[in-house]
Amino acid sequence: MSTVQTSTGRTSTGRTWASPVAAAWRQVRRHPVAVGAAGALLCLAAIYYGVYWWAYMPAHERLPAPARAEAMALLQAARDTKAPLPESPRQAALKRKVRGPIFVKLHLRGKVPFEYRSGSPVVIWDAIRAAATELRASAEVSALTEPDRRLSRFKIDIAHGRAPIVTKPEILFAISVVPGVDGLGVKTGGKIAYLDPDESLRRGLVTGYQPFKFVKEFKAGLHIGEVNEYLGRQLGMWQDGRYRRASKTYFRFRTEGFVEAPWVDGDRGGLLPVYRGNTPPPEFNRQAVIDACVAGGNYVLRQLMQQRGRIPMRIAMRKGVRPKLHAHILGPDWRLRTHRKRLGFGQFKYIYYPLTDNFDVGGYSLPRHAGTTYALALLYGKLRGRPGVSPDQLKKFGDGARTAIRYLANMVRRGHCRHAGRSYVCVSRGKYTDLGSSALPLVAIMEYQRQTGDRQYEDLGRRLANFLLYMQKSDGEFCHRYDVEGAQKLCKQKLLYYSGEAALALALAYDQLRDERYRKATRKALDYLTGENYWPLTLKFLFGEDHWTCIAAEAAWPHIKRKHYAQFCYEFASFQRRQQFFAREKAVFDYEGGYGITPFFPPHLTPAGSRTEAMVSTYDLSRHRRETRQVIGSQIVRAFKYIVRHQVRLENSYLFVKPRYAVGAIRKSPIKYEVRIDYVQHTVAAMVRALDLVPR
Amino acid sequence: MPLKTLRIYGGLNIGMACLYLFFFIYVVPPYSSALRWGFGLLSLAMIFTGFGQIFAQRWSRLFGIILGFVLLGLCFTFTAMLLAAAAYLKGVYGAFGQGATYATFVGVAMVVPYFGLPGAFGVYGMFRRDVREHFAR
Repeated sequence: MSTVQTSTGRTSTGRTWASPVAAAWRQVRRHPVAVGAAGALLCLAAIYYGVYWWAYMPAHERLPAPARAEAMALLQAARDTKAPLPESPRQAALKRKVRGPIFVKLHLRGKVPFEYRSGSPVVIWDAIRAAATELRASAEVSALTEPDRRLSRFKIDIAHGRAPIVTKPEILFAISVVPGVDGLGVKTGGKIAYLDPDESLRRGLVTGYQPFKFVKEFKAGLHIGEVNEYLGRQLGMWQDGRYRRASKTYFRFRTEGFVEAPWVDGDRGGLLPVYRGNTPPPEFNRQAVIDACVAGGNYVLRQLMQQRGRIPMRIAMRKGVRPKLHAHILGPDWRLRTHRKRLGFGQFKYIYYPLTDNFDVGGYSLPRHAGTTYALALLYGKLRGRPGVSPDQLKKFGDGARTAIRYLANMVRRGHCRHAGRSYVCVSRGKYTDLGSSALPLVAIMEYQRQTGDRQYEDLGRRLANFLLYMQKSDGEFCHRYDVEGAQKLCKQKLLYYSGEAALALALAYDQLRDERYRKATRKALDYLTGENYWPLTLKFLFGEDHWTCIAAEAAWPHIKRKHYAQFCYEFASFQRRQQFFAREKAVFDYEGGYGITPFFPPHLTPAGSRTEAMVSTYDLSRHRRETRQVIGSQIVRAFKYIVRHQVRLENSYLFVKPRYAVGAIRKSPIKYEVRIDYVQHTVAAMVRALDLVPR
Repeated sequence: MPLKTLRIYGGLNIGMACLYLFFFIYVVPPYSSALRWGFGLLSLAMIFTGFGQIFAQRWSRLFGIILGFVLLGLCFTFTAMLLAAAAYLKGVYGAFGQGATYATFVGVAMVVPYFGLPGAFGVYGMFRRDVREHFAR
């Protein structure tokens, strides 16, 4: 019913004009569904923005560079001289009061011989001066030798802001702290304990939560139990169980961190800002990528055993907990036991943990050994004539590849995978072997032969290729397991990567050995991998781990030219591109170029390498076909930026026990300090194959 | 005609209750026992109301309306929780990421047909003129 309002406040129908509330209520009664839906949507929007602003921590004003330098100079003076410390700062910015606390640490060989934490809030100068005074009085610092002083590096973290976090549900609590960037604090009984970002990285506390109880391998987010233990011990409330019972309020805080530059050639450079435990990358250009390749290759060579020997592997044990590798700094209740593991000539030290200088050789993978050998062969061939790469350096890569191939040849010689009357051999260790353990050695041998011209392993390569022919099924797919003693192929189990690796191995074998059987087998394999393998409906929308397939498709060119392979790889590249982080996402600027689906889990470095290897091949394929895809070229360069940014350099290794030993290594992820040989293999092999894509 | 309508809505309630039981017992059993009990009781109430509606019991209309609003409330609560989690993480990280956005959409897209639509249909059915008149007699 429509009403007309008059100047007397009455309506034309004669009813009193009560209030807008009554009118609104009439509308609600007239359109209940529309009003209900609109109200619900408004409530949802209010909840969204309310929660967002509650959790948001605004950016704070950073300390200007001269002020940072003055703060660091004060600490250096306290460590390196006996001169009196200045009473007041020259830079006004140091007189600023901040939310705090301010953390000052001296890092040396993976340990912290001196640390200081200020109160909160605090004037910056007061905190730094108090730290310097305490440092002067420290017996441990006074006892440092001159080389140790030079090796040691100060790190200052100024906490500017804090924000509340939720602790329920547990999974949300676990990812409530930006890993490596935020610290965590807890307030209980008038006392506060802090876990600063560096400490969370050193102790592996930001990579310990297991969100899915049935997937033990997947861990991300705060290790809540160990974080609480660390905080509880800091408050002295852990042993007697008071911490567990106490009512606690958690918060996160963000710090502005900067570290002393390392001492190089008698000089210490300026200060380096730190974000997520990393310092700024070198200026990105072609030379930087060449240097990254050389550094990566040298790291791999350092892992290569030049003679038989034993390496220490430390296991950490604690009552009531399963023993684990000593990969991070541990609490006081842990005991260490060292096992001396035997490694053969030409084997790699499989996994290295730079935070503790520990190794792991358990589960040594032959495919990864061979893949790393392939990367060394590529470095030898592709870095020839590049600026800054000496012939001596190239020789080292070539020799390293040969040594690693010798290990594989010895495995064949000593293994049981040689049957009288059969033309094939395979690389085996034990009763069973798999396809990848022979496919990737063939890739390594053929690449080595292609790059060096050395044909001493050609016969071994031919017999390995014959093994792949034997393992291929009529539809082009391969059997993935082999019973060495029974000389039988086992086709039931299907394993990741192996078919693509076999296709690449056969393509390279044809390129070097020109046996028509290998060409036909490659074609059959690629037809299967890019066709029948994708028949299920769900796979019309997704891709599997097909990076080896695209590398094989390019390696087969020009002997096998099929448009279908190129189309498949273009789609594969596009699918991967949708998962790549871009620079426009400012909050995670250091993820640019990495592959991931959400900022909660920092992208791993290995996929940035392995997928980029496939992208390089796809780009090359598009060039061969005269339909160059620049968009893939840009995708490749972005990934290189990501790899170069996170590669270990002297500058960003202040937390490590042996910084120089780890230079060139590629970590698992920006927050996971584990270096397996194949992390370096994939990233280096990708970069060295596409150097010309990077601007000079 | 109202009897036919009541049977349809009764069947819908029983069907959805069976789906909830299957989903929350076999597919994604909740870790929290409170949630397990909550969904169990909700399903039983829906089955009870469903049979009441099929046999045109007077009380079943009121029960149907209450259950419809409960389902609508659950739809709102779950959507609000998903959005709050997304907002919280965006606040913490400064970005949410495409993958997580899609996952949230999938979550909302599951909550609406599982709780919102049955609730809305249930309320609508019980407010239909023929049903109201049938029980007003």
